[in-house]
Amino acid sequence: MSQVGPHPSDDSDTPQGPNPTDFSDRRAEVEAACLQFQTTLKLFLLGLLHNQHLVEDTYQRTFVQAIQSASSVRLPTLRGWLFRIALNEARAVLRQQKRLNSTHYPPSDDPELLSDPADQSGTAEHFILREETRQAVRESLKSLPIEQQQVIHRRIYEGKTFAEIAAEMQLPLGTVLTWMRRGLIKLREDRKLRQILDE
Amino acid sequence: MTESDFSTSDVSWLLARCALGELTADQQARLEDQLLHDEQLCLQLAETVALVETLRQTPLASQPTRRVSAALISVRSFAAVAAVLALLVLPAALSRTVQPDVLHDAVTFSSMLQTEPAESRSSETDMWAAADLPEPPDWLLTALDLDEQSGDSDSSPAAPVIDDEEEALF
Repeated sequence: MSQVGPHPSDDSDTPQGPNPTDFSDRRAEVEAACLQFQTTLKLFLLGLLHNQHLVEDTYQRTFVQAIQSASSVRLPTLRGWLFRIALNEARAVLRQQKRLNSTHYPPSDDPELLSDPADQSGTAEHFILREETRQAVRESLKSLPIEQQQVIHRRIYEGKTFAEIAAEMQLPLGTVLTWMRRGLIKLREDRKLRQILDE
Repeated sequence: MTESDFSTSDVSWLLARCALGELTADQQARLEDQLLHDEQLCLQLAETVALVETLRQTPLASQPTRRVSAALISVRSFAAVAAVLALLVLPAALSRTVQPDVLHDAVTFSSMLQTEPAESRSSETDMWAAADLPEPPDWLLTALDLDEQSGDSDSSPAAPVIDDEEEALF
């Protein structure tokens, strides 16, 4: 755990010999920030870990590490600091998983080796969607060209690999990847959907 | 597409592949190194994961199929209606030029055939008829043949049987 979290000496603004009251205040602020950015941090971790159980575990470790290192943080950079702690914790968890040769997270040497779609579904239980969001997603999806819709549907909902999708659609893999890429970019740029997700 | 647009979409695609778990170990390690020093990139990754998760948790009724746009439907509908109308109107339009004559001929022929007994026709009448009347249409001849056949086989003929010679004159 030596690499977990920024070392207090890394921060030039570390107060010299903080009194107990200041430290308590700083801890309270870090704790509040952890709660405030909880969803963002968990989504960030999910992008790295692809497993909800690992995400929950890593978030807890991030929370504890942040509290323990609260004295070293500059408040203006608090969010970035939390991301760094979360990333380091995620790396530590991945290394641990690799050592244990766990099946929770597949080795990512082969891009076609994906985790089980059944495991992927509902990986973010905390990420509860409103009907308004669902409707916006459906409308955004419908606005895409049909080819992009089909690739997204098969990859996201059916959990198929891009190679499988390319074989099914009798298309080159590059074409399928391009459609997926364009579709996701268009969805990201969809103003209404973006507005809802930002909320 | 400018270079900056391309690089932006490139990063977006890299993050999307990360969110989907498609990166190789090397790619993942390189991205993590970038994430370590780029808070905005971390936020973008969180947003991308949010998008993927949103898609994942939005059930769709069925797999999308090739849709036909409303404009295309209307064009196809118009073409189908036009074709049907053309089939209906064209024969009528073509026959309209001769229809009055045909009707006139039909009435003339039918009245002659029904009111004039065969034995009463003189050769002069036949000659007059042949000279001044046009050829009867085939459908009328066929109808008359059928009528005669039904009259032969049936005891109650379609055309009234005229027994009275006086009435026959009218």
